[in-house]
Amino acid sequence: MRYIFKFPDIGEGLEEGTIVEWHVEKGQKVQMGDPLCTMETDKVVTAIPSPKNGIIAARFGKAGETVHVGSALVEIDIEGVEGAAAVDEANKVEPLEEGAGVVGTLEVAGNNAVLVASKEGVRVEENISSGGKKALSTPVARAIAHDMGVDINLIKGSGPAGRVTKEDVIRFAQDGSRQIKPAAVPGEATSPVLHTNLVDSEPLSQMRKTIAKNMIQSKHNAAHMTVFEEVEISELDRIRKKYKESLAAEGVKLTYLAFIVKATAMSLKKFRALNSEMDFEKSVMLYKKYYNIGIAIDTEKGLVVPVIRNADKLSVKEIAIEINKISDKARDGKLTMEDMKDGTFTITSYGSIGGLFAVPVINYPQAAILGIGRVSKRPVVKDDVLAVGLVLPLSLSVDHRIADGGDTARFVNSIMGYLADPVSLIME
Amino acid sequence: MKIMNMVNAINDALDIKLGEDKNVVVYGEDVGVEGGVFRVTEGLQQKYGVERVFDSPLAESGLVGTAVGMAVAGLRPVIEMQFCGFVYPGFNQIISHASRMRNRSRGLYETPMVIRMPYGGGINALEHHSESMEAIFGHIPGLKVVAPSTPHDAKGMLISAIESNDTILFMEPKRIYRAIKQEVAEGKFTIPLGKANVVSQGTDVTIVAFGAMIREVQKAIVMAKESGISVELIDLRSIYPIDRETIAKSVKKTGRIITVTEGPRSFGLGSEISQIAIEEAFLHLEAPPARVSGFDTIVPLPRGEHHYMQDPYKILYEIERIVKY
Repeated sequence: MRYIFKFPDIGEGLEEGTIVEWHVEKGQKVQMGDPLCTMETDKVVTAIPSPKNGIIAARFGKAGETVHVGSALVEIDIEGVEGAAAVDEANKVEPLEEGAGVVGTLEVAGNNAVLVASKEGVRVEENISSGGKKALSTPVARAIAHDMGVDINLIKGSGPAGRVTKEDVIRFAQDGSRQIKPAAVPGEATSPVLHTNLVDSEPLSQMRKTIAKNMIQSKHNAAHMTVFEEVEISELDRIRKKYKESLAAEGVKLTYLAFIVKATAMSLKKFRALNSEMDFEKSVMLYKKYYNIGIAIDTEKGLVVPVIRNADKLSVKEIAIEINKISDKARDGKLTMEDMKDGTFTITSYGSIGGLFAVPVINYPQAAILGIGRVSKRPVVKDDVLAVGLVLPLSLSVDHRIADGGDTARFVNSIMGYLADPVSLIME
Repeated sequence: MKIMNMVNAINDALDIKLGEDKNVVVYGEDVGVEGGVFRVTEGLQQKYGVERVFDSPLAESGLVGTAVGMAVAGLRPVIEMQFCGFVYPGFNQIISHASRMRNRSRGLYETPMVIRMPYGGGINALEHHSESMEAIFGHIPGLKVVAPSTPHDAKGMLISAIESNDTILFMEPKRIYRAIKQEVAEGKFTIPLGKANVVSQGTDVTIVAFGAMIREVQKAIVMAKESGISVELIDLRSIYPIDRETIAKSVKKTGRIITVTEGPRSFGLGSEISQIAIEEAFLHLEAPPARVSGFDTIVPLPRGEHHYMQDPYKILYEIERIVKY
């Protein structure tokens, strides 16, 4: 059996190679894998291995000659057929194609670089979506759209055959209809979700949605105004320390907050605007005659605001017990809607975590919120003498639609008065 | 099906027409004995004899002029202009007689003849061997000008051209004479002249090219795809008459058009195609039509020729530029 080994394409798109050196002679026995010759191509110099076991019947080409991919390289006599017959057979191999021409050099395609047959007449239309409708428009309108930062493909054209005119672009840019829907439905504005490795995309929890909605509603509806104050509470601290131990024995933790709630409830009684609600739609003010103080509590899942009911009627100790109760419930996630509804005023004591002053957001539709900052020892002037004082920062945000500056200031003064002189809390 | 390069395919078309129509004659400089400098007519004289396939004197005016006479007398001459750049002495015969014989004789006489011309550069040739003159011929009323880009098209278009009763300039992209092989149907088939071919579909840019430039554009398309740009490639095939409909349809879809031609830029084919795009698809254009073309100078000698030629990178540059416009 005779086998004609053709110069294989040993590299991508290889078309020809030059024989550097032969490693076999005619009549020589070769094993599969033995190097037949060394070929130099435009990419590599490499040995060409024999694909078969057998005897070399013929070699085609001398060292230094260029061989095209696909043309015969050697003939291998696998079963010992006469060499002369093999040479005859090899000579039948098609002559090498040349880039014929008296002038210039023509590129010659390799035998393996065949273009697919023309499918003309049976062409199947590729189904490529055009990726959205493109606007019909004059260049000048496109230029204006470009300058105004408007995507012309979004504009409905009023010109002939739906052409987007210059006027269409200008109108579109001016009427703002290209902007995202205004936050008429608070909390429902959506932003594009990024799906990348750099961002973890998680669905909003119901709680986070509620918080977001409430915050937007408050900021959107209430006219926020905040006053900042500081009150020196050495006396309050002294009293707290005095009763702390004995109450702790009863399982009650006495905090500044209990006093602050009491002072707030008592002050609210004097300034009803701060314990009210405005129904703008019906044009009425609702002044509440009950004083339910919400306490903003930070939990793992988010902010919750359980309520201490009728705080004005409770003693500081009773308030302390209530605070302990709702704190425990909040921590354990056991608060019910019952625990959180009907608040008339809110206190947020961010200072227990950190923050000297903050601008609290009103728990809408309540009229105000009191922020408690971080207590710290500071130099204060007492009786014209510089002394070490214990200072509590306060920030009160009010809905300026409801409470004017005067009432607001007086309300803060009242709280400060109670806290500076805690005995007054039991005098009224 | 048989694997052929463009030389084989043109030879096959000539063979088929010489075989079936005794009025077909093939001649030109070195066409007979030698089989043409590019071997396009190889073997034809041996097969059909010196009366049907023969050598002409080295005189292009006479070459074209005798063909006009033969055509008027009822033959179908297929003459070879050895190189496109040699046609100038025959230019007067083409413009003054071949192109206007039907008009001049009020339809009494026709000149059914084909002038085959290897055209274009990229083969490291000398002066007068690398021109791309489609615009000059396209400008002359009464001529048809065509140029294939594949072996299949070359065969089908040449058979159509020989069978046409018009004078046809058949421009052969010699750079890819042997650079492309393709399975081509055996026997006779025709491709109608005047119809462009949408080689590949796309959505962002339309590129119109012909002849040897198709392959260059295809390389650029592969690179553009990596940048996410989808290119539609139209092989014009027929320079005159030009397929307005196919160009318009594509530009309406993509909104952008680039022409890739080899000839000098000014008053070139790119300008004509751009104007068609403006007339037919003005309201769809998202960028000014762009041209990748040769320069307003003689094609340089081999050492500097690559500066003149349109390569895939020049084409890619225009693709990216026009998409960002």
